[in-house]
Amino acid sequence: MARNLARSTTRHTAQHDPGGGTGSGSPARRTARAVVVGTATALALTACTAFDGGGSGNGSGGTTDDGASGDAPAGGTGTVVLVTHDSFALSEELIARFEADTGLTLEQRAPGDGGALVNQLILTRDAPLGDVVFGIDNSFASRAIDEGVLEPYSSPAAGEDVARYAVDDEGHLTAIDVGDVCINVDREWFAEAGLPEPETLEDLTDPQYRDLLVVTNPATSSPGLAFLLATVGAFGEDGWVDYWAALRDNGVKVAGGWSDAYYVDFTGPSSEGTDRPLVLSYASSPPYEVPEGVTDPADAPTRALLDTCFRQVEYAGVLAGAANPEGARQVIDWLLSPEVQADIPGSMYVYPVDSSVELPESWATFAPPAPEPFEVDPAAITENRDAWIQTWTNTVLG
Amino acid sequence: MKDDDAAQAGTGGQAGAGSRRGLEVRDVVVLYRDDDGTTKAAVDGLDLDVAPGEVLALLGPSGSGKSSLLRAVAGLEPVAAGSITWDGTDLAGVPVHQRGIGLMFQDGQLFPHRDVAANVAFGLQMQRVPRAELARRVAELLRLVGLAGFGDRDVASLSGGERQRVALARSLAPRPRLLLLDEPLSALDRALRERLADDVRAALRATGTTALFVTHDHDEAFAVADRIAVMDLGRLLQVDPPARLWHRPTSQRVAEFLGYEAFVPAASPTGRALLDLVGKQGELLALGPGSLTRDQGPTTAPGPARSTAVPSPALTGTVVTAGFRRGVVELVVDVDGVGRVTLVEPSAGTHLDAPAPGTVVTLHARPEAIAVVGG
Amino acid sequence: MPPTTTPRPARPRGVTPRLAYRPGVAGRGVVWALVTAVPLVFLTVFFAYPVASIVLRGFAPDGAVDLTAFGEVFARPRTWRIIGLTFAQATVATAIAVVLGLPGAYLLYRCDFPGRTALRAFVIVPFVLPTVVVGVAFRSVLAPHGPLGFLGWDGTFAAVVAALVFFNYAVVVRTVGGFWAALDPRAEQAARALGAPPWRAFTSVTLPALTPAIASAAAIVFLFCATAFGVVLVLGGPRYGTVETEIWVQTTQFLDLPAAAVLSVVQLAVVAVALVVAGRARDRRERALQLRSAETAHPHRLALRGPDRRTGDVVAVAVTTAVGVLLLALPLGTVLVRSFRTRDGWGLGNYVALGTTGGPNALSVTVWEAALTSLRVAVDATLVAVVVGGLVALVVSRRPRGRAGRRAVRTLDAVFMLPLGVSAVTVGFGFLVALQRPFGLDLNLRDSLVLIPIAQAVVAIPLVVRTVLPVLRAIDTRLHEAAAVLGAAPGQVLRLVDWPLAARSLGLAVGLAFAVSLGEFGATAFLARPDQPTLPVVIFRLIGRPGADNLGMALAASVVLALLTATVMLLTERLRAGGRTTAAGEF
Repeated sequence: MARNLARSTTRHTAQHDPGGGTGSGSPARRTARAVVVGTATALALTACTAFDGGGSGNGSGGTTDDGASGDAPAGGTGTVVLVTHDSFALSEELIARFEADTGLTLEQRAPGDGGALVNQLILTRDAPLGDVVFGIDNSFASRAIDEGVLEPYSSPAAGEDVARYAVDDEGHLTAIDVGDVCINVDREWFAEAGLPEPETLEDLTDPQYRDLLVVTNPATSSPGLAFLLATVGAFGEDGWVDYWAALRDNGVKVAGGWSDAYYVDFTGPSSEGTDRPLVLSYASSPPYEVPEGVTDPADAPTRALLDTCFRQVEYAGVLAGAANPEGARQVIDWLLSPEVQADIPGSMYVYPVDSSVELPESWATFAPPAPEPFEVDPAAITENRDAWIQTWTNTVLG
Repeated sequence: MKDDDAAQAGTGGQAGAGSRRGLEVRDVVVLYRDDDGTTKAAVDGLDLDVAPGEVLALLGPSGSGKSSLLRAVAGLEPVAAGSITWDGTDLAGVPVHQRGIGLMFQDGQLFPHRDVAANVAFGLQMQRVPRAELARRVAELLRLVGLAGFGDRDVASLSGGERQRVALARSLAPRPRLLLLDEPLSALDRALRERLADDVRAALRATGTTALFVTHDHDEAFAVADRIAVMDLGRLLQVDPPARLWHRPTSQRVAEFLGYEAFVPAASPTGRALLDLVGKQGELLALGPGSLTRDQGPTTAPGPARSTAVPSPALTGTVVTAGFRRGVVELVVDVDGVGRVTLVEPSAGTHLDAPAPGTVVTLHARPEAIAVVGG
Repeated sequence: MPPTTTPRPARPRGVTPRLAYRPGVAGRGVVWALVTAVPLVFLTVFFAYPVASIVLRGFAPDGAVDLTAFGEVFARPRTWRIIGLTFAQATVATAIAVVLGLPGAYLLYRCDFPGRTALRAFVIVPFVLPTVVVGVAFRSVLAPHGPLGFLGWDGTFAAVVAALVFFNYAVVVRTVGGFWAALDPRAEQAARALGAPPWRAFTSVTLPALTPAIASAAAIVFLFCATAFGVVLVLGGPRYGTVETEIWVQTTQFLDLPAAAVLSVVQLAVVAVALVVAGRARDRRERALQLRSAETAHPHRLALRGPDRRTGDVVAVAVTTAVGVLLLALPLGTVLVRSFRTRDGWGLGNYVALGTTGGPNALSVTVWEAALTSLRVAVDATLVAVVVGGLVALVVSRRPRGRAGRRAVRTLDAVFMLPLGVSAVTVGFGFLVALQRPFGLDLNLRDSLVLIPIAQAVVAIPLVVRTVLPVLRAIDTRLHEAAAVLGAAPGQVLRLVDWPLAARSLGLAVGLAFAVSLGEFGATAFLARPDQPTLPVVIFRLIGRPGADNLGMALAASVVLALLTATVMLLTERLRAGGRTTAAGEF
């Protein structure tokens, strides 16, 4: 058995913002919370009436419709099992409050991320790993749905933003957060070199940016795959291969994972590199390189090129065969609640799907999301992913 | 070691004369399975008795099966046929640790993780001897083997002889009804071996221990045993007290193993003459080192053997080699009508007193140093 | 009385004792059956069954066995390239590790100098560091701007090999060193006396004597190299792939279970070959161990200067220093130095941050809490590994009379090595597929927390066995017999002879199992609980995020992990150093 299996599908979904708090003090939030808590309590009560009492841990398998305002005593003892990736993190208070409000115990399992997560759900379809999954992204979303590991659920808490990222009409998956994978640029390097910073994908093939870009391998790295999809979205199924050929000819470097691309090759302030001022990272990366006291985005040492982004969407869904489907639905509702949505940037390093939720100050300043990221239909991704990676490998690595 | 210590340590030796029958080995076969799967009989239908209180030496060349026999008696080796009994009770099926039979190994096999005292105490601990009694016994035994005060020494720091003394003390400590000693001295150097052989005998005597002592060294056997059993190829050739064994070996093989070099049929002329001289009946005479002396003339200092040599019959021989060894001169002489015999002579102080190879010498026989085989 | 002839040491030819006590008592048979059954059941449930389940799923997705995948997979040129690369990378790395490890073994186990014990503990540190950290450390050394950038090794085969040697150097040093320490030096001295110059005496006497240990170490290193994963992905660049990485890609990315199953079988075959070779070598080695003489094998003082200068010592010091500095200290030093670099310059800020969850890194727990979780899990894993591994070693150390028995013992020995050579992905996915209702029993092991320490124990058990077994085997059976004739029942013999003698090696095994568990990030990664992350998981999480704070904390946490490991190893080294026995395990 290999020691130290490092999963190079480096993701970074958990991060706290350096400046902002959770903002729980504002009156607006309070009201919102009250609503959510009320709803959640109602849901919990419903669940409790249906609680069979004989469950071995996953045992609050309620079957009543959600939304009904039950009047049974509160304080269920059921457990709901959340299957996720090991970067899942939310504030402890939020989880504690969820458990207090619903009477449920939230148990977390992290059998893998990205493809591993979905594939494990598929393999354990007959005996699901839990009740609800969070962390399926749009590159594996269709496969999960096609393989029938999910139950449809339309959360009352879902708004327009959720609908915008819907994978199918039945609502097998509910978008919870989004993250933009973009090229980051070391601005200080370009200032010193006297070069204009690139802006677009096309710029990256410009000979004046020769040997300056480092990306990651789409076969083994989640941002790598996202960037491949960005180029598919930008240049279409016919054009992306030529684009990569041009990148290759312009000296693109391919690293195994995000960590070594960012920390070894990239020239950014927290990195050691000396010759790759362009790196594949996230739109939310720049705030973490900003020295204390800097408030003007123009002074930030790095920035994301917002015209090079692919939007990764992370979904949650009720697992087919869940022991506690009612609890699963409550978890999804909870993930969409304003509190959790507000906590997401700080805790998981991505943007909440709910665009009405206020971003932390440093994010608003230094990490605006891409206004128009490239998109690829999840079904097309599922259908072509393997072939695209193969083609990419042949084109870029030869 | 002192006898009073020994007597103390020996009190209550359960081996004692109280048991009437001791060890009886009957028709025992011990098989040895080779790595290739073939089996051979290491012990091949052997009978042997050891009386209570007796020290019996089992003498034989390497590979004669004596260690297998010992291990079978201890219960370490399965018996393929025959029976082993103690005082009439069959030992078959009795596990090693319940036999009450001790075994002392050639290389001691001291427990490296225990100090000297703890090694000696092991068997007593198995018998759940109370702590105070145990300490007393250990001290006694260490005194008995001449290692008083060695109790807290690390066994790795001991010399070879000291280790064997500890091993002996350890074996004696639980007062086995029978102690088996498997070549206990053969790993030691000669001087130590001789000294220790006497000490072992004294310790066995003092404790009244019944013992079966395996060795391939007849000196050791003679030094230690009440009786000696000569074993070869899985069978016993002869069992007798030392003196009888020495003077009346029952076969040429036994005589050869005891160190006799030349064999003269009683029917030959030389044989008849020698037989007359010895004054016994028999068919074969065995001569070994010391059986003959040289007529060295008046200038030579008389050796101790000279006075007892009877000047008849006169034998002649040719010196083959001459060597100096341990204060004596050894001459290998090809004796006419006899064969090659080693002569042992006191040295005059220089190597020159030995005749050169090729010298013809006149010899006399020492009747008490000539054995009659068989009869 | 005739003068005696010089006595020959008289060991009874032929009748070699093989079993400590008389067999045939039925009760004892039952006891041994139980002792054998416990580890076998453990291995079956937590290794064989899960692996078989996932492999079978690949070959028989619908119940009917379909082996066409073999044809398909082997028809891909990529497959052959990957198998070739796996072999090449493992072979080259093994060879280099052995060549570099020999002088290290000599220096650390045959020579005496101040700080020797600390150095011994230091070399084991790489063995347990998370690959993602090592990957970054190595790349910062080898990247064009790094101190060894001029070599141009970044992203090459050479980088992978260097990292594999980095990880496995300790295996060679400890395996060969432990054996070398117990080797009787008089044979080499005899060769010198016969006129052989030092190097001739070494090559013609010592080296052949060491061969079993070298072969054994080489086989284990080969096993580790052939199943290396993260280091290949990070350092080899995207062009390199091994059977292990390919299994990972096929399983987690493409869900091509048939292909993964075929590759798993290939891997198993490779591993089996390595194990057979290792087993042969070990047999010879452990036989040889019995011949050692405790008193004669004292380490000598290093002699680098003056009239007593030994060229061998100078070479050993030179090679080991070079390895120590370039291969071990440079990457480890990079981690250490960078762990002190903060956003505001040099300082202890990153270490202070280990006590926080807030700030810019939003861990759900502090790094100290994670370290505590790691320690707790490691205690459980160690307990399981030492109990099960100890039982295996005990059973395998017996020498049954029958040939069938001996063969069974040897097979058992090899079978328990398998976990070292099977893909963590295969095992991890196997757990998920198989352990929800193992063997149809209503016993959900898959979702149980105990599976994490158990998964680590499965990896640690082979190392425990390899550490304890040589010592148990080196205990002369006649020592058992001596105890038996003094009245000790079989159980007492185990307790009073085997146990105290093996206890120190067991102490070493405890340290090793502990260290392995602290660093294990293979099958465990599939069982992680986000709310109770272990130290490697936290490090992985931190280094997956941008910014000096995260990197600094990740590196500081790595230093903590390394220190924990080194401390554990140091403690167990001391345990052994205080012992009376010279018998040494392989690690």
